[in-house]
Amino acid sequence: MAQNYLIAFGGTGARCVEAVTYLCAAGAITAPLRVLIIDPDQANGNVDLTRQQLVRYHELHSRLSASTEGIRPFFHTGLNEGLDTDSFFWQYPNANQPFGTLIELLRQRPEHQDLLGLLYDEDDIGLSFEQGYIGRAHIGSIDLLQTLQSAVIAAADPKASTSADALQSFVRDLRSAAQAQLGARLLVCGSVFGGTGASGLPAIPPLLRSVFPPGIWEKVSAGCIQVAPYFSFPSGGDGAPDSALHALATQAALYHYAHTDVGYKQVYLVGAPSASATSTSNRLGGAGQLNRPHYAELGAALAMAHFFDPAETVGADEVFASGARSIEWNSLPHAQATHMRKRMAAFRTFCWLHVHFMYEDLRRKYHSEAKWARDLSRVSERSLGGQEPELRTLRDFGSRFLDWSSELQNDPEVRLFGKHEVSVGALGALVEGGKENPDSYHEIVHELSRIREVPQTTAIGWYLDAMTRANTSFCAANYDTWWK
Amino acid sequence: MRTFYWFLFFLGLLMVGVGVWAFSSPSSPVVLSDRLDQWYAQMTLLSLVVGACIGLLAGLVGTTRLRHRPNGPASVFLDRVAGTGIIAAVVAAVLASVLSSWLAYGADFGPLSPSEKVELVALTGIGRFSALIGASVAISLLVFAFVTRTRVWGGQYALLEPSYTPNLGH
Repeated sequence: MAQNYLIAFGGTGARCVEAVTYLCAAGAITAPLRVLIIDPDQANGNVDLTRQQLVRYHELHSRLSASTEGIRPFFHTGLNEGLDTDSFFWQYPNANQPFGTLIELLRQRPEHQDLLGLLYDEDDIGLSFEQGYIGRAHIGSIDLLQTLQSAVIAAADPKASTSADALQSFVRDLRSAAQAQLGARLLVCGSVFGGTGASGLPAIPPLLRSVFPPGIWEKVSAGCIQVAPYFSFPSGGDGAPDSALHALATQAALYHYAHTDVGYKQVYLVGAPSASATSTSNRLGGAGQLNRPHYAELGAALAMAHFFDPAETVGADEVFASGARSIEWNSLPHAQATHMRKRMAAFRTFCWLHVHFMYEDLRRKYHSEAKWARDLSRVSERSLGGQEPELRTLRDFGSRFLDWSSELQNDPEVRLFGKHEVSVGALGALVEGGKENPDSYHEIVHELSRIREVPQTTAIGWYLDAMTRANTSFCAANYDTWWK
Repeated sequence: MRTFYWFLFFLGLLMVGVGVWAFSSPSSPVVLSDRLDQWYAQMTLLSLVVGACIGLLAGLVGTTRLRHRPNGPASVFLDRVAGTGIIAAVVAAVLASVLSSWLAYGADFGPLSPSEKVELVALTGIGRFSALIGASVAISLLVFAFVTRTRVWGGQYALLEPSYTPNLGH
């Protein structure tokens, strides 16, 4: 059973989960995680994209053998291991109900209706949540608290022990893990300036404390990632979200957290000094709400890596500041401990290789007489046909990762990845500090051909493991100026 | 290409066998046949050395210079390995021929002009001379295949299958 639990609220939370998915895929995070995304906007573009990546990751991870020797292969870190892919996302039950119905406005006493009329206008009362809370945390906090409360209380009911509801299952497993010897770690991530995140972050600790057996909640090491404004979008019409108000919302939220012990033992505050535009339109939600990646999400993912790192212990009154003033490998917080630069270099090289070269070559069976393919058949009595659906899944995952990393690099403050046209030579310069090398493809295949035994039981597992080793060896030689 | 590689190897062996057993040294009224037999034996040995050196050099260079390329079957790379070996064998054959001819030019065969000596051993004795060429080709191809099989690189199985040579290289 997992010890590490992550709840991500809303689109911002989902984007941070996407970033942590890549850290897990690359091996920068090695502790298995249980991930749950909560968003009333079922069709949110950011959430949907992250879900797709999580499903792909889950499929690829399932092809790897549990035990490995030496280098851990890509996708080795478990995400919701042993569970089905529905466990990544909670199907929000009340998305279609207007807010007025949820608070039972018409059943309130007249004086209470008058009070509510002061707090909420007609738009608020009639708002339903198919597109989320649209930046209205004063509505979202009530709705989310009520909805989560119902689900969390249901989770505590022994009769619901076999319920497939993702949130109930999450809470049950967290409670069981907390009662184990090692306890559990829970991290909650979301924006403090938006709707869903701002509503959900303060709700989790008191809810869980209320349903856990006495003394058990104290065995949960609970932390949160508060994401401050880091992006902007064009202003819309009346009632549309306005990114210019994010700073004001953040100020109010942080004031609350400064004076109220919500229940988190560790808090990470992540943001950016300038709110770069990550979208070209003002979308209220749904599939159209799809913002470009931002380095703050990578920062949040590194915060997750720090929180879940068993080697990291933080004292009660310790305060850490990253001190980073630039987005470079050596200045990212916790990047050294995770060997992030090496892992990302090897992983990006692998994705580039597979997406742009290997996938088509495998599909056309060009590999059938290659030395590594023949060793796979001869030594392990398995073969890689080239038509396996996992290869397509890997291509899709890698393609999105390459887009994600390229879009990060679009920010002029970011100096992490190289940006190139598709070419063999580009394989040697996919991370800052590299140089184009026309022999890159040859050197990687050469490394692949040198690999001896690989402890995997499936052909896809062999491919992932062997490619991890080959690309890591290639990068170690290619980036010799900083790879130590 | 790989099939042709081994065809050439066996052709070389055939040339050696036929040249040695089916042909005798050319007869000449001014050159002792024993002397010519001795010369051909020495040149055969020289051809083997030349072929082995060329094969070894080509193998060492080829395993470091031949490049895997994407967007194409791995068999193309393997054929390039074989092609490199064939080119090396041709070079070995030419070199063995030239060296042998040059040594014939200055050999102590008796009262013959240098060009007559070369003509005697290379043209009149073409059957026997072909054994030198066959020897250089065959040994070059064999050494090249051995070198490419025992080095740890992507072309190990281009010429020698692992099922035939399980304990070579890895």
